[in-house]
Amino acid sequence: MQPGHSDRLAEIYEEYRRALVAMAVNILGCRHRAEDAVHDAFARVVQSRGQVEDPVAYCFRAVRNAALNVVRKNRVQQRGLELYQNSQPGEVVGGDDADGCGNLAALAQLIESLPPDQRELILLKIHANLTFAQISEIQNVPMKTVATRYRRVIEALKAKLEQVHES
Amino acid sequence: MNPENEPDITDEFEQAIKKLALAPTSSSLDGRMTELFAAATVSESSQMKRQNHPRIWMTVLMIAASLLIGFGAGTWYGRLPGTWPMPRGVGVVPEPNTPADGTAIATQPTASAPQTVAPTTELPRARTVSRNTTLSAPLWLESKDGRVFRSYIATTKEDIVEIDPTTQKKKLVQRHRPRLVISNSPGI
Repeated sequence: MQPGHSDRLAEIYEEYRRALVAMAVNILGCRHRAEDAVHDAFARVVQSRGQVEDPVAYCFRAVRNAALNVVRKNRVQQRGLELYQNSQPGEVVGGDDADGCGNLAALAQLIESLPPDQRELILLKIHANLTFAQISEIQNVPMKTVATRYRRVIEALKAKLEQVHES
Repeated sequence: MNPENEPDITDEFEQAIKKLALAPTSSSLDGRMTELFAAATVSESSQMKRQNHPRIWMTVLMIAASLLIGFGAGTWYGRLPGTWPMPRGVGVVPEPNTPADGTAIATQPTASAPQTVAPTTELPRARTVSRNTTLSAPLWLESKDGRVFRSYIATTKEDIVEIDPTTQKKKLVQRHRPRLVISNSPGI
């Protein structure tokens, strides 16, 4: 265990806790289980002794793996996996400010209608403000693939929002 | 969008998405996480202390081992033939060099000499035992009853000088008077 290891983890949790829980909710479809997954993941990360190149990405990946493990291993939570695969309402609860792109509520609804993997991409890139390199490490996907997927999601969202405005 | 050049979220649309707030975490999770990190900090500090103790003990052990090796080497060196201390009870026999009781002088141990001493590769040599006295390589004297004595020829840098009664001048008779030194205890 490195000196100051737990302090650094506490800082990461403090900064990214909403995004971490949101990501777990996105996978599990249940906020309580998502919070348990976040706690379990950090409990394991605290005990880890190896050197980590990017602790933020490591924590996100740990939480993501913990949530996916819950889905995989617990038969009771099989429903959560189905919810994850069939898209569930995300953690975005709406904004409090008007914007130049139209109604924020409509935007929130559009994001919630996205497939979970795309919603996760939005969450990690925009809300957690992570880099493509970090997201590629979290999702175990090449960085260029992450960037391409992100660009497509944004373009699709823009198109859908324009359709909403026109209608 | 070039992934190599990490884009900042400057796009108006992306900024709008960023304005969408995420749900806050529950107080129960925050409480559990605070306890987790507090316990980890305590465990971390105690582990650091445990890690320091072996270093102290290793240092102590290293010093002790060095001292033991040093003393051991010194003891071994003191047992080498060339560095043997002067045996106790060394007697000085005046001239003549040949003992009066007819003991024979041998430069090697005789056949009857006990062979308990392990042979060394170092050849016996003369050595200086004081400022003016030099002992020769050891000789072995065997007495009539078969006992073997270690002996040396001691050379003292004391000139034998006589005074001429007529001229009252000192006359050098002999330089470096040799003596025979025989250990008074048998054995090699």
